[in-house]
Amino acid sequence: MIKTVLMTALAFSAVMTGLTLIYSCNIINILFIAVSFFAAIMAGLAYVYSVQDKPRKRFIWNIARQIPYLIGRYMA
Amino acid sequence: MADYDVIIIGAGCGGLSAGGILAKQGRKVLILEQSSRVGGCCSTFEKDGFHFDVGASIVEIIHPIKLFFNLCGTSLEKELDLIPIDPIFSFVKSDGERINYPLSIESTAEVISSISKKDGENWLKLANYFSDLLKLTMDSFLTKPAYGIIDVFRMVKKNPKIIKFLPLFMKSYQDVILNYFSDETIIQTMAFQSYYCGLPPELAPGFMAFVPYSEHEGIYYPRGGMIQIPEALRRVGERNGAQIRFNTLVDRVMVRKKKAYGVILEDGTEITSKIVVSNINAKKLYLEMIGEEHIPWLARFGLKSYELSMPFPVVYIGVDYRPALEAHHSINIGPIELMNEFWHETYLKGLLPEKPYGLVTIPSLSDESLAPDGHHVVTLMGMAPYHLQGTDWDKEKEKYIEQLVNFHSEVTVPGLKDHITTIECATPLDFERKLLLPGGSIYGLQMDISAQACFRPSSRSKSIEHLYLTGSSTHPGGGVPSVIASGIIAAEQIDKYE
Repeated sequence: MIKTVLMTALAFSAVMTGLTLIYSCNIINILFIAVSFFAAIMAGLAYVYSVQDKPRKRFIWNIARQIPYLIGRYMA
Repeated sequence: MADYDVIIIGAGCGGLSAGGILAKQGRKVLILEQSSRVGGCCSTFEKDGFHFDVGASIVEIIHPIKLFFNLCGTSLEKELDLIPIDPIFSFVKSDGERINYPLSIESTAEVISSISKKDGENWLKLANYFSDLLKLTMDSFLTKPAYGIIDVFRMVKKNPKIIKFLPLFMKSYQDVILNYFSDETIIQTMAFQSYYCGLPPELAPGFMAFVPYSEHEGIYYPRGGMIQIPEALRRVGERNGAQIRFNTLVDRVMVRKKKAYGVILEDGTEITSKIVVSNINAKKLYLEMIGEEHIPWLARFGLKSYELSMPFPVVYIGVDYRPALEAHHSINIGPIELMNEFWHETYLKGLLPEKPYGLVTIPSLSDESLAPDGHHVVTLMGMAPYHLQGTDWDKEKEKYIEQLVNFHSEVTVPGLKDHITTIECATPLDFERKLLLPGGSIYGLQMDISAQACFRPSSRSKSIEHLYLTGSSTHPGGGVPSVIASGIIAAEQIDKYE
């Protein structure tokens, strides 16, 4: 369930980002992106907490904690 | 008018491979090396008649090395004498029992089957699976640039079959190994290799699980020591016209209007060039030798976020007997939970391990010329943090040597401490001082999934024009073949854009 929410939120935010970049960068679209990314992050956190297996949880968390750096790393 | 077409900072394998190819392209190349020998971590030093390898102890996946020599108009066979290693590993259990894995995949399956029939069958399945992955990545991921997402799509477009390996990016190394094997001993023999990328099995990316297989495609030792690899790269480069200056420390990279145009040496001498190629850690390059003021804030944020890979302290020992080990490489194995616990409870807390598990290398079993008659070279590679809680490596060095020697003398190499004729140690601090590796990290930056391909510092700089990167902190990552591949990629990019 949480995985589905996560994937949907991520897909939604990706589509919104794409549309915004292609068509217009107006405040409504940017707001949409912000909301959908927030939803994706929340769903992601919920997913991490729902994982029972400790090594798996650590693996996911290790990736999740580095997501904020990805744009910076891509620019490096 | 610039003094040189290309200045290369560092005569490690990445710098030398880029230099050799660029010189072959007809460019005037100068390689500046701060020490008195080539190779960096892939090097060899002599003490009391023994030849010790500094860090790297074997080479596998030799495709990039072959490619380098071919691009320079020669061949690996002409330039290097590689000794095949067989058996590839001797695993030492805590009760002293040993298990040897031969080179042959089928013979290894027999060894595994003698312990667990099902795991023997699964070993063949794993070998088959990762053999496909290696074939697909050899001419794409390993030797092609990953500047941006487009390059990654190109790799996939060139080899659409690679999509079937996507699940590996969602799994940890441990997930993959446990998916194939169920016997505790077999799991232990397959799990420790996650530390080759500086991470415990539960955190290392799933695709790194190709390592236990890739060793069976062939591992080699260059006759005369690991330095023979960079020496061969150097010879070929010099034949093509590249110049090398030793004992020359570069202090700064000169940058004007976001364009690199040369270097300033430690003594203040300025040398100008059209292109600068770095073979040093990308974090050190950008944040110290170029300066934060030249880097856009987002890239700076990204660069600062990289974590350095785990350092490996090494003890080099010359002995006057033949240790009772059969393989070039031996390792103590333990439960996968202990390997993970070491990371969380010892490494991240800045502690020295009570039981210093690690790799034992006896290269003189493969090449007798490394030690005087009747003597052998033993190298003990441990795992420990750079920052020690409440102390430092200068204070702990002697104690660590004693602890490591005593541990291996009892468990892995019986009689070791009674036969030492010479001993030397390189702590993470020594690696930092002598090889200028930040944090003593021989693999550069940590190699987890968020620091791979286009998320690793780019071969062609995105912040500074005419600046190119090679070495373990750029794509495709750490290890001798990958670093040589990074030099090939940089040279290819320079050929395209400069």
